[in-house]
Amino acid sequence: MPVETMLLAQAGKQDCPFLKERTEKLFFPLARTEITRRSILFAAAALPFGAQASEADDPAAVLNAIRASGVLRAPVMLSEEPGYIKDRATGAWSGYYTSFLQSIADDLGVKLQPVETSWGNLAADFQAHKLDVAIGVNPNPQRALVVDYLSVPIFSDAWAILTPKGEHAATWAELNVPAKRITVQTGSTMQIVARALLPDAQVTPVADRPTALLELQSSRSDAILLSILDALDVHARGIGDVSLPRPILQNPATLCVARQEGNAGFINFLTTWVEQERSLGLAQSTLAKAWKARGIDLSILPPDFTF
Amino acid sequence: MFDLSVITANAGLLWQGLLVTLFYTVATIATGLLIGFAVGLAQLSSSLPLRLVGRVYVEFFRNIPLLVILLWSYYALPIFLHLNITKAWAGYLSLSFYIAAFYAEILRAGVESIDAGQVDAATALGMSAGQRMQRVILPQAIRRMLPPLVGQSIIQMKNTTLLSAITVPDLLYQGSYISSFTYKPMEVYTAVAAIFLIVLVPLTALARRMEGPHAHAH
Repeated sequence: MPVETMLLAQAGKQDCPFLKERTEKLFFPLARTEITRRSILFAAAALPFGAQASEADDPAAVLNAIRASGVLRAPVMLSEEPGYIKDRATGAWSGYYTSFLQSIADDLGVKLQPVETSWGNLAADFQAHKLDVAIGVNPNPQRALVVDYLSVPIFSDAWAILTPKGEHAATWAELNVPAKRITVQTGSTMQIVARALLPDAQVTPVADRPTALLELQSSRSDAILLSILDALDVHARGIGDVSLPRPILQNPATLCVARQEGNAGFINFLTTWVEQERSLGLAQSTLAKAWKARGIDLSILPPDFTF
Repeated sequence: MFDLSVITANAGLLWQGLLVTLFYTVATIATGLLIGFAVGLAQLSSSLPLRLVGRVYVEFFRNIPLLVILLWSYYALPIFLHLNITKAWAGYLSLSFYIAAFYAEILRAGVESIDAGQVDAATALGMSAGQRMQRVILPQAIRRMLPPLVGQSIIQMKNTTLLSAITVPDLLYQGSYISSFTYKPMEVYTAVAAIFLIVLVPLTALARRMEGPHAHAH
């Protein structure tokens, strides 16, 4: 009996529907669709060199493969609310980034397949062909060595600081002193921002946002560097105070795709999608809905600030 | 200061995490025992190539950190071998292969701890190699092996928390998840620690009881 059948049988024997369902989902998350995708890629790889070259030359190769597979694989992650929200009861994903991804999947006529990961593992996910597109990424030349970024952002927010209640930071310069302990997330653009703006401060990278908050709450950190939307989301739950240090640093959130031949058509499709989202105000409306749902107060932003 | 409602409100998620943790613990211990037994016997074999294979297996899996094996199998296998295994498979196989190396060593050490004179005596009685192992050596060795096997299995349950690194929804993953929306990590991780204690303390007590008679007998 194959091991997977044994494991499923074991889960079934324990008469635990949750475990059985969970095991099935874990072991066969994509079922037939992934096999189709892989078959296409494998078939392409198996072609003689001449044929493979023409396949690779086809700028729509990746776009066509995604449409043929019927699924769009995109990363989702914990600790990234309100961008990615995992439903407590069903485990289904929502949040404004998921809404954007759903809109892309709808335009492609495929099903959105959330692939759970973390910022730190994102590059590995792309290299291991586990993802088609990621959203909410900040352009980063190091990561650009392994993925292709879109040249246009879906929106731009700003870098903010979360401090213990009652404390504020008016400028980046006042944080850039050896006594200040700043917490950032590993694998994120915050690390680069902190390195560039706060070279004199003590910068500590941690795995995720809850750990960063633990640093702040246990007085091991004076401030957490976060995007303004994330900082305000935390603040809305009664934790800390948010500052928008001057000069305001805009933080473009864009999309990236796996670096592979034949992805030009896919990038072109996504760029067109972004342009439409921006020009028709769709992106702004998705974001506004998210703020409203989470009770986020944006009054800290200057009146002329636009996303 | 300590907000217990975070735990009670999300007890369902912690329970689901515990089930996944127990599932991986039991499944990987069972598979690890099978592989470990085979590798252990290979190490004790009279055939040099078999001994070598056993030794290489043990050294390979015992000396690479489990987290590296886990990340490697999930991310590197698709890149190098075009083997796109799911996170569940990556987790199950990594944990099984890893613990098998330790089980194999426990088996080898257990068998080798049996006095060589007993082998000679069994040989003098005309027993074959298989009979010696089955009737004389293993019954004694298994008694000696039990405490370290239980100890290693307890470590294995704690090792399953590394699965959260590849987002398998085990107990620690659910802890991180609850922390991510309640912003109460202190309460949540304390609860996770308490759950591990509740499950593992009885098992360690059992391991001690097994050690007791063994210690007195020798």
